[in-house]
Order: sequence, then C-alpha cells, then structure tokens
Amino acid sequence: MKLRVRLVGAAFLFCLLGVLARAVSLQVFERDRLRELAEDQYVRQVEIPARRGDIFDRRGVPLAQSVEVDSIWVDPSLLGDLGQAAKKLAPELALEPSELEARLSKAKRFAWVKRRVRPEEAEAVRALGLPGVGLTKEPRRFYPQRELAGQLIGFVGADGRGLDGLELAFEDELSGESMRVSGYRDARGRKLLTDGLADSIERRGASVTLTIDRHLQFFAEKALSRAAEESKAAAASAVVLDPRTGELLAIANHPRFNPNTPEKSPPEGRRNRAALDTFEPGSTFKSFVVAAALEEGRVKPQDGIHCENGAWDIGRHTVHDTHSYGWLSVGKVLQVSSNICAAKIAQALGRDALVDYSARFGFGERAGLSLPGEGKGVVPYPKAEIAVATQAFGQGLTATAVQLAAAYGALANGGVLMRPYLVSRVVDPDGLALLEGRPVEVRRVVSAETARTVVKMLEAVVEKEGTAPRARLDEYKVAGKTGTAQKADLVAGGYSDKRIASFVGLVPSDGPRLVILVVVDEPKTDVYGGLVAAPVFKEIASAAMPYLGVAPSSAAPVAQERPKPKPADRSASRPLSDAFLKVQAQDPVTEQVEKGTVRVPDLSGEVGRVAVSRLLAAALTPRLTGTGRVVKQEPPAGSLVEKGARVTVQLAGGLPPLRQ
Amino acid sequence: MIGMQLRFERRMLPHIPWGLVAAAVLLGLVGVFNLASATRGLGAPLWKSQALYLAVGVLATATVSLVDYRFLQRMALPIFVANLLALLALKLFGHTAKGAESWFALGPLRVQPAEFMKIGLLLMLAKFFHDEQRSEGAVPGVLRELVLALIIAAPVYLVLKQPDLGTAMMMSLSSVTLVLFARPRLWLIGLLFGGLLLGGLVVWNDWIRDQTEPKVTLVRGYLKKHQEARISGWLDPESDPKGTNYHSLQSKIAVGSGGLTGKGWKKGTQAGNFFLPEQHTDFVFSVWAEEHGFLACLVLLFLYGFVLLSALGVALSARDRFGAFVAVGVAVMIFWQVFQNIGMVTGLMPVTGITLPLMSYGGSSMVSVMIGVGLLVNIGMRRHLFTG
Repeated sequence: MKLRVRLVGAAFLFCLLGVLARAVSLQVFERDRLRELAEDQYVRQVEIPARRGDIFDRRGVPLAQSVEVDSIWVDPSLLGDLGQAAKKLAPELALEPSELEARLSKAKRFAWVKRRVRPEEAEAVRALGLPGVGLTKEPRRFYPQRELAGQLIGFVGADGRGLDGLELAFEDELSGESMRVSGYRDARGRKLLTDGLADSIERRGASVTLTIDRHLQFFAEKALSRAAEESKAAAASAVVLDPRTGELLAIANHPRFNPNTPEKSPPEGRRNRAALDTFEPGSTFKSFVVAAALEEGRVKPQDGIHCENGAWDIGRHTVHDTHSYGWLSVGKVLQVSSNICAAKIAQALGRDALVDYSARFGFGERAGLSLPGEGKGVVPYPKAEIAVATQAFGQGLTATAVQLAAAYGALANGGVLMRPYLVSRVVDPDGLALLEGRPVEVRRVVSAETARTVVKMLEAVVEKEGTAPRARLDEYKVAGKTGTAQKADLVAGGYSDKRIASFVGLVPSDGPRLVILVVVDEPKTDVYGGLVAAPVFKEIASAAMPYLGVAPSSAAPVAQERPKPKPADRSASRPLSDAFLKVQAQDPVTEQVEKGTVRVPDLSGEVGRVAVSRLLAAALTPRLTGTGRVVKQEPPAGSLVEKGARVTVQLAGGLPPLRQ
Repeated sequence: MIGMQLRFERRMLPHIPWGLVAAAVLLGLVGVFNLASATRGLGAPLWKSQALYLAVGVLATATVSLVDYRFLQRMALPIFVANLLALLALKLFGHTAKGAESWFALGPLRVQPAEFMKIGLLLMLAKFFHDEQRSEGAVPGVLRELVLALIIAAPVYLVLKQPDLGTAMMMSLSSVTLVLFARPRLWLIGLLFGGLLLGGLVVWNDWIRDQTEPKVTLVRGYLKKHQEARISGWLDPESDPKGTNYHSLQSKIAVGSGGLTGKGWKKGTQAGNFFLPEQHTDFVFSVWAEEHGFLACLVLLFLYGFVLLSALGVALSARDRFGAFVAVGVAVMIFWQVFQNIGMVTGLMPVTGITLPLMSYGGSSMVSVMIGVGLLVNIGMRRHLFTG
C-alpha cells in the first residue's frame, strides 16, 4: 500500500515535470516566435475613419456636426439570466424586452444592445451595473438645429454615410480620408488605440459652409409652415436669394423634416422640393415674357393691349382671364395678371424668341446646386399657337423653385443672371479650400433698363388694384408677381382643379436685396397666389429686412439709383476702398526698403489659401492656425521683417456677414 | 447509527495538514488575483464572486473536516445515490447553457452537480475497496466486478449525456486510476498499456498514415466532426489557426509570449484583447503564464505538486484503508484535472473543457475541490484517533 502511494506520487511528479518541460519549451525556447505571432494578431494597420466634417451656415453656426456617443454592447454569456437582464435594460433604452432577449440569446459573446444612445441612456445603463455590459464610443451625426433646413442638409445612414441632400452631395469631402495607423485590435475586431495615437478629431473631413443664413432660413420656415397649415396645403417651398450674388440664403420646405430621426419621416417628407422638384410656374412666368418683349422692342411700356374682355379663342381653345379687361398697358397686364394679354405679348414676341429668352433666364437648364437629383425643368418648343399662349402664362413648361427665384434675380440684378449657389466654401482641416462658391455671372439676359422697367411694373402688383396687395410692406417698396397654376392631372391628362399658388417678390424694389419665392402646393382654403403665398412673402420679408439692416425705402426718398454692386468683383462692392487703393497706387512717394528685408502684406480677410500664397510670394514663411479667413496676423501688416521670417496667421471660421 | 460526530478534540490539532490547507488557499487567492486580470475585459467583476466562492470553499473545508470521515464512510452510498439523483434531476430541471444541460439554476446561483458527483464517486469507490478487502470471497467475484463497473459507469454515463465530455473523461480517468491503485494487477496494467497502444495505432491509422482512397478508418468515421477535428488539431497544431486549432494555438501564443517573467498583471495582450478563449475558465492558466511568465508558472506547479504530495502524505499515514483510498482519490482527482488542463493550454493535450482546480472561475468546482481538501484534513487529523 505504501509503495503504491509512493509510486502514484512519483507518477504525479513525473507528469508535472513533463508539463513543466513543456512550459520551458514554450516560454523560453519558443518565446520569440510566439511573441511574433501574438504581435501579428493584435497589432493591426487600423483604418481610422476621419471624423465627418461639419456643415455650417454662412455665419459659422453648425447645422450638422459629428459627436462621439456611447453604444452599448453586451457579452450575453456573462449576463446570467437573459430574461431578467433584458427586463432591466429594455425600459432604460426604450426597447421591447422580449425582442431584446431574443436578440441577446442569439449571440454568443457579443451583441449590440443599442447603438448611439443618448448620454442619459448610457448613464442609466452604467448605473445598472450589469455584468458583461460594455460601452463603446461611436461617432454620431447630430443636427443641432433640428428641422432647420432639414431636407437641404439631408441625413446620414447608420454607417455614417450621407444618404440624401448635402450630406450625400458632399459625401467625399465630408467623410474625408481615413488614416492608416498601427494600433491594437482585439479578437472581436474592435480597434483599440492606445498612446493617443488616433484622435479621430485630428483627422476630419472637410467642413462645408453654406450660403444659407440660419435666421433667414428660420423666418422662411416659420412663415411657410404657418401658411401651409392654415391653407391645408399638401406641401410648400420657399426660396430666399440674394439677387446680386446668386447666394441662396434660405431654402425652406414644408412639411418639415428632422434629419436627426430620418426614419420618422416618409420619403416625400425628406425631399428638398424647392431644389429638386419641378412645377408649372404659372403667371409668375409672365414677367419674363414681358421683359423679353420689351427687350426685343416688340412692345413698349406704354403700349395698349386689348384683353378681349376675358375670353379669347385660339383655334379650338379659349384662353380665359379671371376678370374681363379691355385695353391695358403692359404694366397693367402684369398688375392684374391677364392671361390673354400675356399670350398676345408672347405672340408678338414669337416662338423662337420665347424659347430663347426662357433659356436665357435659366429655364430648362440645371441650376447647378450640385444637389443629387436636382430638377432641370422643361420648356418645350411651342409648336401650336395655343402652346405659345399657355407658355406666356407659365403653363406647359416646368421649372424648379430655385430656377424661378434665380430668374427673378436676373430682373432684380439689372438684367444679369447670377448662378444660384448654395455652398460658399468647402475647407479641409488644414484650411485649404477645396471648393469656393463665388458669385458667377451667367449672362446678361436683358438690358438694365428693361430689367428696371419690369421691376417698376411689378411694383404695381402689390398695389390695391394688383393681384397681391397682401405682399405690401409698410417700410419697404416691394415688386412681385403672383402665380396660380393649375396642376397637371397626371392620371386623367389635362389639368385638374388642384392649384399651385405662388408669389415671388423683390425687396426693396428700388435696389433689391432679396428675391423671395413662395410656392404653396395644393392649398385647400384659398387657391390664389395673392391670397395664400403673398402673406408668406410679407412675413419673411418684414423679418428679413430689419435683420439685414436694410434702410426702409420710405426713409430714402425716391432712391437715386444706388451704386449697384457688381457681385462678381469683390472690390467693386466697396467703391470707397477701391478709390483708396487707386490713391495709394498713384502715391508718388515710394519707400526705400532695405535689402534683405520685406514688408509684411496685409492679409486681413483673406482665406487661408490666398494668405499662404501671398506670404510665399513675399518670401515669407506662412504659419496658419485655425480655419477660415484671416482675423489676425503677427507681425502686423506693413512691418519690415527679414526675408523668410515666419508670419503667423490666425484664421477664424465662416464668411463675413452679408454685405450691407 | 451514531451521530454526525461534529467533534473536535485538541489532540487532532497537531495532525492537521496545515501546509496542504495553506497551499490550497494560496492557490485559490492566486486564482482570484489572476481572475481580476482575466475578466477585466468582460465588464463584470467575476473575481469578487470567485473570492466569495473561495470563502465558501474554506467554510466547506472546515465543515467537512469536522465530520468524522468514518461517518462519511457509512454515508457513502446515500451520498452517491443522492448525487446520481441530482444528475438525473438535471434532465428535468436543468438549465441549458452553451448547449449542455449541466446546471441547476437556484436564483442567481448556478450549481453544477457533476462537480459534486466527483466527490460522491470517490467516496463510493473508497468504500467499495474498503469493503472489498473485508469481505473477500463473501460475494461472488463476478457480481462484485459488475457492481464496481456500475458504480463508475452510472455517473460517467449521466455526465456524458449532458453532454459534458470533459468531466466524464476526468471521472473515468480518476476511477480507472483508483481501480488500478486498489488492484495493481498485471493484467489491468497490461490492459491499460494495450489500450494505449491500440489508441496509438488507431490514431496512426486514421490520422497520420498517408492512405490512398478509399481510406480505411477504425474510429474516425464514427466521431463527430468537431471531435475528429480536435484530434487532428492536436496532432498538427498550426494547420488551421482560425478554426479548430484556434483555442490551442491562441493559448500557446499567450503562454509562450509571456516569456520568463511575463508581461505584467493586466498587461497581457492576448488576454486583454480577447484572443484567449474561455480565459476565465478553461484557459485561466494561459493568462497567468502570459502575464507572469515562466517563473510564476514554476511557483504554481510547485504549489500544485505540494498539494498533491501532501494528499498522498495523508494517504500514507491514514489510519484505515478507507481513509487512504479517499486521500488518494482526492489526489488523483486534482492531479488529472491539473495535468489535463495545463497540458491542454500548453498544447500537450487535446482541447477538452477541463477547468483548472482552484484557479478557474466557478463556484461548484471550487467548493468541490475544497470539500476534497476538507476530506484530506479530516483523514489527516484523525490518523491516531481511536474511538471504538
């Protein structure tokens, strides 16, 4: 017995020594090889996605931001009773307990409980202290202004990729380049980065600065939503545009859409109708016909046109007016919006010129906002006599709201069509502008005189006798035009009794700062543009004018033709500084600069890229901090420094405010 | 029937194997310390539970050591039957986890009856061999052998059906070792070596030998796919690193990359990044080896060796045959688990789900082993006690 026990003991020792030998072989002799294998596994070239860039309004107010939020995962094998755990977790996260339990029981060692939760949810889960529950940071797109410009900005999917709107249009720029770094990873493939290697904030996508002004956008959305709800309209859009530059200051759509929760809106609610959808503009188109006819000399402002007392036969068709008129002047035609007279003017203009001018005003051609799915609109060649007539009052052709607003912008801008644009700058994190939206003159459509004449005529529209007295402002002169288009019946063909009521206004009309277009789709209470859309215009304009600091028209008696800014040329908008520059250039006294030294140029207000190139040209070493435009420089402008000296330039975000 | 004899006499004190108890508790504490690192990524402080289990285990040791083991000898059959019933009851009330019905869920607690069956089985076997000597010839030899076979086969079968292949294997190995210890017959040893030889031949024929189609296999064809793959993986560990051999290879990487002195507590890259499978249960030794290195492994093996030799020491000085058998049984039970577990994590043995006694996370296993330690104390301190 004792011998046997000793034998067993010897066997134990023998086996344990065997294990020990194995440990020696692994830990001493094979150590290096196994260590390499280990490193092969956990050291990875990790791709760190850049933090998605932000989207700002023109003043640098963020409209879309990326924030790091918690995602909650769980190792179900550690939870114990899944049912109990699910019952505890679900109410904190607004989930269904049974659904959560089913999901957790499917996974072995890893399952998401809920991704991208709110901070208070994460806190609640942390407080539960359940075993096996972990939190991980994930980036989440956040839209701090909620519904503001929702359809325009668009939204991102669960993977953070842009799915609609600007988020989609600028996907490549916003998402940025991901960076490859060596980091650790774990067996679940999650990336673990130690040593502060990859703060994803260091690498971020380019930021996009819009021409949109948050306040104007808000005014527009508020007014639009109220009117759309009051008139029980199916939808509505508004476009606010600076006619001098083509900058879009607001693009509003109703119903509103919150990109933070895209799944809660139907697809049509996410649509940026103002830029994407085309519609038949209706009577608002008459202004262009009149402008073209005046430009071509086919009519004179004081010419009388007979309006056939409300009904005019063209072949088998009859054109109607809402009221019957006899002889009207051209201005009166616009004021009362006579279809018959507009048709006669179009006839006088001729088919080719009608089509030509439509194209010159920008119709039938994409406005080029670089938004995906942007509508183009169609202006068909009016072969039939009746087609000439209907096109004259804006039926039988289509346009987007942005096109229409831009075309009115041409009338407001002295006859020059500016390309409407939405994105003022796309700047990468180094301050390099990838894209800069600048005012671009597309073409001169009509002479300044013609444009001014038409705008003058349109001022009468908001008079008592006009179609839109409700668009009248007390302090600012308004020129505008109503439109009440019949909606084409896509099912039955022809036109239905549904209407699109619209109003487009220029304010102040003696030097328009804004073009405001309001389109209300299928209003149910009133259908006329002058009743439904004009008050929206009035609400937006009366808030926007003081906001922009525009002097009331009545205070400035009969505005002498103000020096019209030529927006394409920045310096021209500041005639004073222009003159100042000239004086400087002509200054006969020239300064003797010591050899080897240079004078630091004045960089204030320049964008980063320009500042750099100017410094390099002056043989100086640029050093940039921040992004945006130069707000500060060291040493100051004009000081003498050695060649190659370092000049520190501080940049700050956003565009300067709207030019006054 | 005499009472439970929860009696402690002063003269027992010098015979308590303090070293054994200290080594076991030290191993348990090392286990808790190691678990704190091994479970750091799981978000649950399992080491706290383990510390609690260790405390319960120490309590169990104390309690078991106070009950005179001769009382346990008389109770061996009821204990054994009760354990069998518990295993049977699992079929009805068991809690299924990881595909096996091995647990009773008692509120937040999970009890694994198979762990306690080990103790019941070794008590039963010790009683059997104790009685065998006394009543030799009284019962016909064949019947006796049948009873012995039944004692071993019944629990092994039930555990195998859970299915818990690892524990069943450990039970049969321990039992066979005990039988061999009790009856060191040449034919038995011959049978064992013959079996090993046959097993080797089968492995050689089915896995190693290059055969032309159609392959003639003896066993391989009857195995389940994962069982078959485990043997292949054991034979050629680096053949399929992401599949079958993942566990084994990962464990070897962890152990080997620890080197002589290790990477430091909670600094193990393989454990910390979840490459190690089951790192708080079956592969807990790898965590220790990775983070503390070869020298610490040496310390650990020394402690286990000390526990085993102390247990055999208790057997040597035991007063009666039953005590000696129980002591050897506990030693054998602990030995096989330690050897199989460390052999597995170092790639010496195929992967089977065997936990490392006193180190792996798990209450039932901890308490079961500590009951074993209690039995050793019990036998050790009563070695010179004569009460009629």
